[in-house]
Amino acid sequence: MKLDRFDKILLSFLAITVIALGVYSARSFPAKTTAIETRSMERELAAQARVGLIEKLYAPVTGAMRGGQYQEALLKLEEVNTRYPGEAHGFILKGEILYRMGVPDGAASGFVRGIKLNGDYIDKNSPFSKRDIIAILVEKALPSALTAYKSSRSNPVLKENLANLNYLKSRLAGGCE
Amino acid sequence: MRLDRHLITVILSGLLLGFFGVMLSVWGNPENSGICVSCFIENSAGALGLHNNPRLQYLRPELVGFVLGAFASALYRREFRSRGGSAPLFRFASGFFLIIGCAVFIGCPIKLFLRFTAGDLTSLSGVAGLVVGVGCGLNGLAKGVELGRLSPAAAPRGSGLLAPAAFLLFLLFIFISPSFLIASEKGSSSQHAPLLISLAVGLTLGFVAQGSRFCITGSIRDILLMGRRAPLLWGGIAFLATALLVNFSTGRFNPGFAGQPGSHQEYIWSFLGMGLVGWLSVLIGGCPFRQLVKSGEGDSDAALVVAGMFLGGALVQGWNIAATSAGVPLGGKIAVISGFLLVFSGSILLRERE
Repeated sequence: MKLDRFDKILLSFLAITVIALGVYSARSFPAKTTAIETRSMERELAAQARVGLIEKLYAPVTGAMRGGQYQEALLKLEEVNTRYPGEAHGFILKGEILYRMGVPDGAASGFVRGIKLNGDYIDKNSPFSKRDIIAILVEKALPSALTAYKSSRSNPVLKENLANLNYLKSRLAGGCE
Repeated sequence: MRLDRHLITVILSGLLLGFFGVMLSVWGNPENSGICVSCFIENSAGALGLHNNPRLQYLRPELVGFVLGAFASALYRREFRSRGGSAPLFRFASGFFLIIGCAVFIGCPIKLFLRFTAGDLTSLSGVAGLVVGVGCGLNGLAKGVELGRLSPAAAPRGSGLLAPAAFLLFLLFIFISPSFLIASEKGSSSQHAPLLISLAVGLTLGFVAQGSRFCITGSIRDILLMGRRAPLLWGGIAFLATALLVNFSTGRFNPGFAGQPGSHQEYIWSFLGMGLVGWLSVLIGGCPFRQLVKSGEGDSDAALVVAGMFLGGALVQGWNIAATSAGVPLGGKIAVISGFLLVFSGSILLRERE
């Protein structure tokens, strides 16, 4: 390939831009260049603030649960839920209370609604993880739910309960979603 | 059929894809998602800040490996050639809708068969959809629906280098982790195989697949056209058999319909999602994996498909299109129907009539 004058000029400029790019890339970005640098900090702050707020808001509920007073815990949960009706944590706590009260259908329903809103509750590493209790619920309740559904396939309640448990099983199994 | 060099490369591609497809899950990738181009695209789009689902943001090294491995192979085999100019905007839109179809099914055609070989029987509707989609696409080709031939003359010299250059930049991002790059600390994107293993697998598969032209939808197309004479049939069998064997031997084979990882039971939408992917793949000449490989060997039209896939990867999360274990959202259903709108209208407009 024969290079003319224009090619040579372009090559010179190309060399200059490569050098300039190298020089600027080698320099560290100033600490306050953009908001991007603070994004991970803000995300961490938001996560920690959420943990603190949730613990504070639902403290009466978890307190009653620790004392084994599940009916009272449900009442306290209803009080909190009137102020924050769409919060995933409320559904998860309801699921946990009902599980401890021996109501697996209601427990599964609560867990499903909570996890659909916030998948953190099924993660192993989340501070609010309920993975273990959900795994036990699925293991215990799924066989009987399947038997019940097979005996009465037209019953929509049994169908929904089975679907809820299968959803939880699928989320426990993992996958990319 | 003679066991020539090409056939051996095709079978090797299938073996490696099946083996690494399962083993990457064993090494840390999400369950049944050892290799999933659509998942990787969604994850990578999130990592680049194109969507803000905090559970799906990770620049997948495998993706970078596919393109750069194919680039290296094309250079080594002297097959790198800048080409393009065949209905580029249609291809861009097709890339977008490829990801829509995959997101509604939950997985690309490779993951479809990885799910199947792990015992996920819900994937059967996707298999049926993909085969029907490829069959319809072939029928369209026979009736004169063509995007036109790729031409080196239509693509400026060197334009084929842009895609490998972009992925080289992504490779740099993986190692220097600039502050704008996001990595999920929770959810499925926080699950990944060790970086160097992922990258090495990606490079290997990209390198081998470039030489063999291995492609899932291409395999189905060739089987429908040529039956047992199709080399890709044997590549496909090698892929399925290896994946099945590795799933069995690592205790990952759990047959059933319910409770499968990353799957839902809306069979009609799984069928339609994969049908859309199959049909589009025939029109644009390859599944999402093949598009990545072709973009690495200088095909700037395939690079546009990849760009469309990134846009799709961003919007399926941003617009609540992607299906989950809970099912297919309304947005996903509307998006799949819109994809078929593109296929049908495109087929009418692009058809060459005598």
